[in-house]
Amino acid sequence: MSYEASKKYPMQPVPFHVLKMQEEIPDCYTLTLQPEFNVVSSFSPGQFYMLYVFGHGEVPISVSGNSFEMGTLMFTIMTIGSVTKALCSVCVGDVVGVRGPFGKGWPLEQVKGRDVLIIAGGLGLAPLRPLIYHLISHSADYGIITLLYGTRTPDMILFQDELASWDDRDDMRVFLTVDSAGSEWHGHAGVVTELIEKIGIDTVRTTALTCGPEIMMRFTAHALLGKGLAASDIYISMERNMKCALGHCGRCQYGPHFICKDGPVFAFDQVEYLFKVREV
Amino acid sequence: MGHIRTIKDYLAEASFFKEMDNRHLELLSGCGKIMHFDIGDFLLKEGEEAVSFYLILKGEVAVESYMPACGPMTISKCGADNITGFSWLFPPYRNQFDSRALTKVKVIHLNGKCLRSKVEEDYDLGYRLMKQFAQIMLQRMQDNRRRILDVYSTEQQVVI
Repeated sequence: MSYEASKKYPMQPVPFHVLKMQEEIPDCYTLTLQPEFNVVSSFSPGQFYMLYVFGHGEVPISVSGNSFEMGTLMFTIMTIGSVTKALCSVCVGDVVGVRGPFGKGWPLEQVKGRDVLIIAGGLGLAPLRPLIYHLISHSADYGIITLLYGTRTPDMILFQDELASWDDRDDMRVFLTVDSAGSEWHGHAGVVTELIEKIGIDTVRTTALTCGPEIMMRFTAHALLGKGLAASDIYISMERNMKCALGHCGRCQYGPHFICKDGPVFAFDQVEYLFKVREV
Repeated sequence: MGHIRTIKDYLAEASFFKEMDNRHLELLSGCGKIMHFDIGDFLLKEGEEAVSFYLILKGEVAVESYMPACGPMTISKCGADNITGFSWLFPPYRNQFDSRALTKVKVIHLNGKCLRSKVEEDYDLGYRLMKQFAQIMLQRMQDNRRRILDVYSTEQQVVI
C-alpha cells in the first residue's frame, strides 16, 4: 500500500518489518521499524502511531526516533500489558502493522524564540526525544534548552549515552534525578519537581514541555505554576487507551477532547480543569 | 585590605536566615563556627547524639542511610545555601540519617544545644527559627510524599 493509500485508508495497518531491537532498560525496548513496501510518512515530534501485533492487538506508541531520519521509525516500548509484551517479544525480521502518524505533537512553532524547559519522568523521555533532536538541530531558533529527567533509580534512566552527549552541548543543560541511589550516583536525589526549585527559570520567556505518568505531570505543572509560569506556557502529553486514533470511536475521550485527535499534546490551560475532575 | 567575613555575615546572606533581624543573627552566630570537610567525611552519623545543624556554604552533601547488602543509599542531596540536620530540634536528639560530604564542603556548624538554650530564653527567636525549619520540613515532606507515590511507575500508565 502506498503512502497516499495509507492516508486514504487510515484504519488499515501498513506492514513494517523489525529492523533492529535494542533493550534500553529492563523490560523496555526500542524497536526500529522499516516499511515493507512504501516510504515512511513524515511525522512531527510528539505524534504517535498505532502498532499492531497480529494476533494480539493494537497500541498507540509515540515515536522516539529522529523525525529527520527518513526511512525508519523508532518506538521505545515498556512491557506493561499484553500487547506491549507481545511487541517487546518480536524478533528482527518480524512484521508488525503500523498506522499513523496521528495527533498533535509538541508546539514547535509556539516555542520558537523562547527558552524550552523539558521535564520527563520515567518512560516519558521517549516521546520527548524527537523534540530534543529537533530543538538541538535548530538551536538558533530557540533560547536555552533545559532537560530535567527523573526516574526511580539510576538503572532506569533511558538513553544514557545521549543524555551525556546532550549535556556536553553548549546550548543545552541536562539535570538528572532519581528517587534513591547508591553512593556511586552523582546526580540529584529526589523527585523531578525538586529540580524545578533548583534551576533558574525566566518565567516570562520559558515554555515547559512535560511527559510522564499523569500524576508526575500534574505535580510538575503545579510546581511550574507555583514558580510563576502561565498555564498556557506549560504543555503536557496525555495518555489514554485509544482504538481508532481518528476521533471516531470515543475510547480516548477526555472531557470535550479526544486525546488521539486533539492531543496527545495539550496546553495545560486546555485541560487544567479536567485534572481536578476525578475518574475522567 | 579585604573585609574578613564573620559568622554573622554568612548567616545574613543565607536564605534560611532571611527573616532574622540583626539581634537574632548576633545570637545565632554565637552558636556557630566554620568547618571544613573532605570528600567522604561524615557531617552527621545515624544514631549518634544530634547536636549539630549545618548551613552549607560550599560543596555538596548526601543524606544517606546504610542498607545491608546495598551499602549507603542516597536519599537526598543538599548544596550551597541549604541546611542539613534537624534531629537536634526534638527529643530523643539522635541523628536519623547520615550526612556525608560528596565534595569538599565548607559549612557553618551551629550547635544545637547552644541554640536550644537561646530559643528557650528568646521565644521570638525560637518562633522565627521554627518557622524557617517548618517551611523546609514541609517542602521535604511534600517531596517525600510524591516519592512514596512512585510517580514514574509504569503502573501509573495506561495498561495496554
